[in-house]
Amino acid sequence: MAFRRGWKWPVPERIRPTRVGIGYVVGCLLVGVAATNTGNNALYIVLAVMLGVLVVSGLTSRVNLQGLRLELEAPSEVFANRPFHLRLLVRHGGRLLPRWLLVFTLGEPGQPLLVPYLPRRGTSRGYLELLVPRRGRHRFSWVHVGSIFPLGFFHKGLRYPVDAEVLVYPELFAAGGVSPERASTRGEGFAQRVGWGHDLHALRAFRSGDDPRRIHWKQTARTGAMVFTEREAEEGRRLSIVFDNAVGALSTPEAEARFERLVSEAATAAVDYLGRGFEVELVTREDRLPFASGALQRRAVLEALALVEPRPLAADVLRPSSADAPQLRLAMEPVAAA
Amino acid sequence: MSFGKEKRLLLGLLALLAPLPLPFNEVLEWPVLVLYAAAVALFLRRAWRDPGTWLPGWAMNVLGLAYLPLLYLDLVVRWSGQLVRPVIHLALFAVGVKLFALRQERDKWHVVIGVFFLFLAAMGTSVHPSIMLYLAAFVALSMAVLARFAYFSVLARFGYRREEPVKAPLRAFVIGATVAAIALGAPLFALLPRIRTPYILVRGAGTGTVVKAAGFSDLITLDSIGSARAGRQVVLRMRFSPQPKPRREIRLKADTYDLYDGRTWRANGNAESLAPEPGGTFRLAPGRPTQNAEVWLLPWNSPALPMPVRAVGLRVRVPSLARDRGGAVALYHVPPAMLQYDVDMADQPALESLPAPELQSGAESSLDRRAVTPRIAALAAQSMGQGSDYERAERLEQYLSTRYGYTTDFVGRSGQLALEDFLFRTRRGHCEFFATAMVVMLRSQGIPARFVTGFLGGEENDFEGYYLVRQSNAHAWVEAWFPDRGWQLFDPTPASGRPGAVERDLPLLVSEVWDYMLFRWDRYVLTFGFYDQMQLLLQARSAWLSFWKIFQRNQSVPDAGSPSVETLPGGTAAPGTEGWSWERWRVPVAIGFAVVALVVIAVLWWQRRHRKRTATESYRRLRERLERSGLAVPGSMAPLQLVKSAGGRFPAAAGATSRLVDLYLRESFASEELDEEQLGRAAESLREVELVLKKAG
Repeated sequence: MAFRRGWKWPVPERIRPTRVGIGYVVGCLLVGVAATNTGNNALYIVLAVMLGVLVVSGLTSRVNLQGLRLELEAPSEVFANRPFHLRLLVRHGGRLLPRWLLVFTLGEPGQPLLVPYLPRRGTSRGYLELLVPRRGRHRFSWVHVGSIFPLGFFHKGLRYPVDAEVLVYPELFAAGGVSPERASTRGEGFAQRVGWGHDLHALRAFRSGDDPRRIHWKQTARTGAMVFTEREAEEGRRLSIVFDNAVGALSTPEAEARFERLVSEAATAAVDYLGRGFEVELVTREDRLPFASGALQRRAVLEALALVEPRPLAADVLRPSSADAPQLRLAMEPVAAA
Repeated sequence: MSFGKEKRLLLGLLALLAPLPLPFNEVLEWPVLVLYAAAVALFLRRAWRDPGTWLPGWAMNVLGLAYLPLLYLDLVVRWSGQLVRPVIHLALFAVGVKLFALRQERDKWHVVIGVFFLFLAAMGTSVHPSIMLYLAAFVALSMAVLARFAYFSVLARFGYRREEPVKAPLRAFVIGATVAAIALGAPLFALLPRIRTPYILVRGAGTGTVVKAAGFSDLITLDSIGSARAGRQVVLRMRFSPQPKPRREIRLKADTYDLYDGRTWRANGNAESLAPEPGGTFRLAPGRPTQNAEVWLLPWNSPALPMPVRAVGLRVRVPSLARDRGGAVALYHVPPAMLQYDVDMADQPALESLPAPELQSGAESSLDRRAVTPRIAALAAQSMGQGSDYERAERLEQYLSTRYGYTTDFVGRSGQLALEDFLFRTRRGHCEFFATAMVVMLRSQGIPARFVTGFLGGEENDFEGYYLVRQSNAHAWVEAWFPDRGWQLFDPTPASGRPGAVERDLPLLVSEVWDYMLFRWDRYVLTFGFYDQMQLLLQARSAWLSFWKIFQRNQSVPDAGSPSVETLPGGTAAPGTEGWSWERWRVPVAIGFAVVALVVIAVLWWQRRHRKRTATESYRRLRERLERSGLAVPGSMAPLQLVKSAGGRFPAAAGATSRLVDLYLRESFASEELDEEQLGRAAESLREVELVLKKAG
């Protein structure tokens, strides 16, 4: 996520009359015709004041959208096709007029943010709910501010430059989303061995030579016999995700969709296994993230997968760093005779 | 309060306000308004309780059908041949019923349209300036309604149906926007294109177009001068020479009338043709001219040439003139454009040369006694007393001017008994009533007299050195004939009623203020027309040219104010052009600009001094100050490093620096909204550091 403050001038957008506004303008025309036709100056007064109201409404609505300072802040993780919230901070530096009925959008599908009232030199915070359909870098250059204030005659808009960027991670599937037929596992598998890890492997009777620090005292007290805690070996909890992105040119939308699905499967697997404490390695044609676990590895894997692109077909086979570790190999059948 | 409830209450108030002026405009009966107001009050009470059940659509339709016979009776029987009242009744009924059937959003807009129609009817039928108060109130309430409707519609889109997420105060906006809209409406009103003659409903009864510019013709009623006096159009401009001031009052004779039938005055039609002397001067009367007047007569739909009563000679570029028996001079055509003429004047009114009445003739028009009634004759005899005819006439003039009051409320007085009404009932009138009364009363006593119309007084424009005579200077007076003195001038109108001659007292001042407002309203609002727009544009152009004159010293400015330009000797613009000059305003404008500039500078300085800086701004300033004091403050130095570094170099400022940096971190990095007190503390800390740095040199 990148964050910068707006620095350019806001750009006005097209003015759209509302139904009330159209009705009002038609009313002005009718009164104008009546005044011209009769020469009745009282009707001219009405017409003049109606036009005055229109002018005041236009000026006020323009002023209402100006003088704002916007700050946009994205959440730490954003996944494709999953709603997320962008935090928007609106500051109004003016001293003369408050601001009313401001509706903020980003020009993307999602729920806009309403700021009904912003006092002079006031601040308001809110969230813009968004949904980005594709992974990758996503840039937000403008925040659109719209309003029908004051009288609901016209919808006016102003675009404030914000220059914020979000790295959208691949879409995550629900549990079991990794399709077995597209993924093949190799290596010795996830055979769990006794070792010095943290996870519980089994409880057994204490034997001579066992480390007394690992006696399970509660079970010992309950059963009356010494019970020993066996732990799993850490080195057995590793997974190498081999994502072969040498798939050639994706000429059809279907092929693109299949590629994206593979990326999502890789991301889902990585998040799943990392969440279970595994050390995960990611191997792609241009990137190789060594075995590691934890939040940093999760972030690194997701960022790599967010930016992975199809590569030209290659003859060699993509190999993990360790042949012993279980592998999740994700590859796509060539879709074109490239 | 739910949105629906508030919408209904606002609509109810708007519906209550809309028809209020209609009874005053005599297009709605008070009982109907009371009935309507009661219905709306009932609606408001119900809306306040917010019962949730309202009139169904079918019931509204049934009520509509039930009203049809009433509408028929209204149209055909009660107000046969008139459309305004039945339509207003129908609109009131429709709005009243619809208020009780507000079920959907569109129903509310139907009511708004109905209310707007009532508002238009109220405005369109009103001629009183107080309508502006109504207009302001209606605009303010309408803005409140529209603003709240817009607010509710947006909130509804975001799922708020009953409660507002935050209270958005709109009162100040509505007041300000109303004032701004009406202020903007003023120039728009002046600039909106006019095609037809301004049409107004005259106060009282009947309808009609605006009274024409002059009101002087062969036939006038007792309302004519009064009507003319309501106008502020410039009739003519005069410049005197060699003395710039007139030696006597400005009194211009335009027409004389002999025949009065009790209702209207007529000229007797016996006019002689006047030819110029070899020098081009029309000799009007014997006498030595002592003063000259240049006159610029603007188009006024009359062939009459208003002539000073002291006129003895006239120079005008026409082959001949017509002069009636009363000495009034006229052209043989109505001049289409501004006309200039020079008048030679004596010291006294040149009435002696006017032909004497033919007393032996039974058809002498100056003794037309048709309007003399026994009551009038008796009053004349009583008020004039004994003595010579001249003394008696003077007594009558005194009697009328002191025992009768002056008023411009002349509407409906020009009936058959207008004069008797004036003399015995109302005892108030304007100059025509006084002059007519004196003429008729003199004639009742056998003294020949005639009715004279013209202008009295004028506004001195000392800047340009000319006198401006407007329609409001229109006046009527009397000329009476005495065997030993010839024709003599009498003016029985009270001094307070004479144009330009009034006694200053508080009631008069108040009445003048009110009359001024009425006049301005009538003249510049109700009767504002195309001609006024042209005048306005020409004045604007003239002002613009005069403005440039400031930068063009020693250069003459082309005249820009009049449709027919006549340049005066000496190269100055003709007075008729009404040109602006910035010369006069140069110093006040410069002072005004200077004052405004000083005020702006003071306000900006005050704001800058008292503005609460954000903690971030104070922190930036702190860095600058420390750097200026010799402390190395690289851009990469973190805030806490700065505290350490500054504390080491300036121990006395350590505490203040630490406090300021703490607030800065909270504001910038914790996104904390600092309150006024915290911002004040940040500023105070900065000042403390600055003081320490200053002491440290």
